[in-house]
Amino acid sequence: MTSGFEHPALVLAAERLTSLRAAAARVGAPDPLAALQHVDCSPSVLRASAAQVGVGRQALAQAHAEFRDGVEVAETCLASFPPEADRVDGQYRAAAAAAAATAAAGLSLADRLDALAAAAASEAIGIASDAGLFVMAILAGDRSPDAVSAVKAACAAVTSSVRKHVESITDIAAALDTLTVPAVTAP
Amino acid sequence: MPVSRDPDRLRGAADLLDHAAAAGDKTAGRFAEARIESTPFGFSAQARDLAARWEAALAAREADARVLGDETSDLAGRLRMAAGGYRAARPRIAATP
Repeated sequence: MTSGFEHPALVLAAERLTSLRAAAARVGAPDPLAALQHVDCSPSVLRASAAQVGVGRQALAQAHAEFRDGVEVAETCLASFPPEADRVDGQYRAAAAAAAATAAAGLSLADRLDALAAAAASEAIGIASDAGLFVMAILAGDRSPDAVSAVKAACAAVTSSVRKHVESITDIAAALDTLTVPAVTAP
Repeated sequence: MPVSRDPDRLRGAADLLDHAAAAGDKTAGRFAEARIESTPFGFSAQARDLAARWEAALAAREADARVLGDETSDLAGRLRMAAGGYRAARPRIAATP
């Protein structure tokens, strides 16, 4: 049976949190795996997307080179070349810079989401481990206040950790702000 | 656009610009191929916002390439007009039947 997680660190965490999840269900605490779903992601898919932007950047460089070739030939047979050529040449440079920045930003956001998911998984495993004795007690039928409280606190700690990591995604998104508008515009 | 003294060479330059324009369109396609659904970013509202911004960045790069393709193609057209202008400006010699 699969865990339902995409990120490998969260797949591992799902295995390690099986007992905490079962104990949480017994005492009416929030499902810690449901919380971890909020930081699940597929960094490899994001990296592939960023790499494809890099392919586009290379294709743009090729188009720019062909443009320059055409302009250079035209300049040899025109006394004055239209100023539009310089403007378009500048636009090729601006578009190439934006493409390079977008590819880099894509790789960076993939790395950051990857690290974020790994950190949340690691913290959840640590929390579950710390509450291990109480979790086993609950699963064995113990309903003492200390055991119930410890399991509920562990689940709350996982949720809190996930919330903190999810909020940091906003900072990652801000890095794309300047790249979401075209770098060149038609005259 | 000034008239050229070498219309054939100018047409050759226009051909090169047409190639560049086609490459620009091809580039737009490459950026379009980078698009992905939002799921790999995650399911939180913040992750969905991040996915939307990535999508917007890809759309912006695609738009950049299309503008460059259009502008380069327009420039190629102007070179062809200059080449044609040179030919039209030359005195025509009536062909003998």
